[in-house]
Amino acid sequence: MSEVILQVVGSGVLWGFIFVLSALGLTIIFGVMDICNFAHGDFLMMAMFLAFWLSVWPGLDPMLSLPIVAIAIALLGVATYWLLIRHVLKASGMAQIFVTFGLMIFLRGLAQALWGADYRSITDPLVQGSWNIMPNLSLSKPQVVAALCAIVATILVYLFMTKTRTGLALQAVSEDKDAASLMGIPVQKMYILAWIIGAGCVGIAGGLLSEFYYIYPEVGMVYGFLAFITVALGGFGSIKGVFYAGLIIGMVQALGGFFFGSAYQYLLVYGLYFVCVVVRPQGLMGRR
Amino acid sequence: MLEIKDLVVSYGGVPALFGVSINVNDGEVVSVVGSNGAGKSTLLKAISGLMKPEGGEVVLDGKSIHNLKAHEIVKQGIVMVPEGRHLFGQMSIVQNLMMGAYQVTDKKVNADRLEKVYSIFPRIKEREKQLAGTLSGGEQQMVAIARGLMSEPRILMLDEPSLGLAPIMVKEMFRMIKDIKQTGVTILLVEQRLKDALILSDRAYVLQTGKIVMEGKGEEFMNSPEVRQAYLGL
Ligand SMILES: Nc1ncnc2c1ncn2[C@@H]1O[C@H](COP(=O)(O)OP(=O)(O)O)[C@@H](O)[C@H]1O
Ligand SMILES: [Mg+2]
Repeated sequence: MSEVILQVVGSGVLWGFIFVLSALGLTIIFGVMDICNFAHGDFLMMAMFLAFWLSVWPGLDPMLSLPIVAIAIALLGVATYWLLIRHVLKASGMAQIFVTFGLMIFLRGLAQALWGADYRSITDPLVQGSWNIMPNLSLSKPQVVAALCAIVATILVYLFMTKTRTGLALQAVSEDKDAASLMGIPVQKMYILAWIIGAGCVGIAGGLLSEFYYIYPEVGMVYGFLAFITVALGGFGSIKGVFYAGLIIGMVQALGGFFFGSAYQYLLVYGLYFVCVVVRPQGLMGRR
Repeated sequence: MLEIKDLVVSYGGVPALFGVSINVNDGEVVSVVGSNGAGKSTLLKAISGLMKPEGGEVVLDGKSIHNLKAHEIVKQGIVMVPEGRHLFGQMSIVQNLMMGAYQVTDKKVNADRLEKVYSIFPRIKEREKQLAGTLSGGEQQMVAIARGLMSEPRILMLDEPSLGLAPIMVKEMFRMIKDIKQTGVTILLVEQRLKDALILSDRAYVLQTGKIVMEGKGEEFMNSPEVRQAYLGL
């Protein structure tokens, strides 16, 4: 029994790192400009489809097309900022919600219209099979590789945000935009940078996920909401918070799936989130 | 060097400044005094690019600068230390200071400037790793001014640096501003504490409900019966 639990937790942790990376993008954008991007999960979906089509032509495996996918989704982020968000920055919170919610519906509809509702997956991925670590613990190779890539990306983003001058300027903007601009920090450029990093992270997460998960227009729904819950549980805008929350959620959904069946695995996650909202509304690492 | 001409600034259609004109010459300390709500902060926000004026001009060395964004104004050598300090509370003191020199990429230059501001404010050097949000009001004000100096501005604008400080800190603060003056930085000081500001200033303006109502030399003001009566309560 305990070995089975170990297996479940192990796979949960691997999922957790993917959640961390996809939620990281959301929390950075939220932190820097107080905008909640409801289309975040659909950025992930777009990344998965792009990785899929690149595997069809020119036949690049998602692991190899990862940089292309990351850059493409980062550009999607910049376009979202420039064409939509920029115009509602001073508008009410409700207007901002409608804009990103509208984008979510648009991207989903677009994917449906272009590619239909079918479930796709990468045939013959570069990384497949599993490693037998112990007699009763085997980890899926693509998940391990995805988790390692996610860890590297997360560490790089964290170091960038906390150790570089530009990263600190992003933090400064997220704390106090006016004071940051009084220091000579170009706030608009920092907004664009936040979207590049934020969308780029979820682009990488989507590329990694496409190696071993189904690709379909609605896939962003589950992952989008998991990303929101990760961000909220971790404390809005907190990078460390997202790290712990992502791992916790990865384990909780795996254990939930094991004990109550996969139909209920996310119910447990929502339950955890609900408890958090009641007990500690600011999240694990939240400021207020 | 800096000329403000007929500046009109509004909040959502309600004017807060009605045609304010002041000028600041190289090396001077000029103060703008006035009671709460007179429009002092609004004036500095308009000069620093945080607010766009509806009318009038801000001219630096003959060049119009009121259409520049706030971060571009810093590039012109004008820096404002805002009312209420507005430090980055989750960042350490030294990180706050590095943000003050954001536009300087040369590490050596940055290190030199850091030493320079620490020599003016030795007290904050001891605590450079501490989060800015954990400091006392007086220390926060020192960090805010030091952060402003990190860009080596030609004109340093201070918005009520004495606000909310303990009396003994207020004295120290004005002494430090005097030290900064002696390094040759031009200062535009906004204050409610008329007396302390006037002692320090070469010239002063009195701002009242969005209009300049009086202008003169620092010591003239101190001795003017009108000013003493209206603003010092003497
Ligand atoms: N954010 C704001 N929105 C609307 N009115 C404002 C705002 N800030 C200041 N005002 C108004 O502008 C006038 C000048 O304010 P301010 O420049 O802050 O004065 P001071 O700094 O001299 O105390 C006041 O009447 C104030 O009520
Ligand atoms: Mg004020």
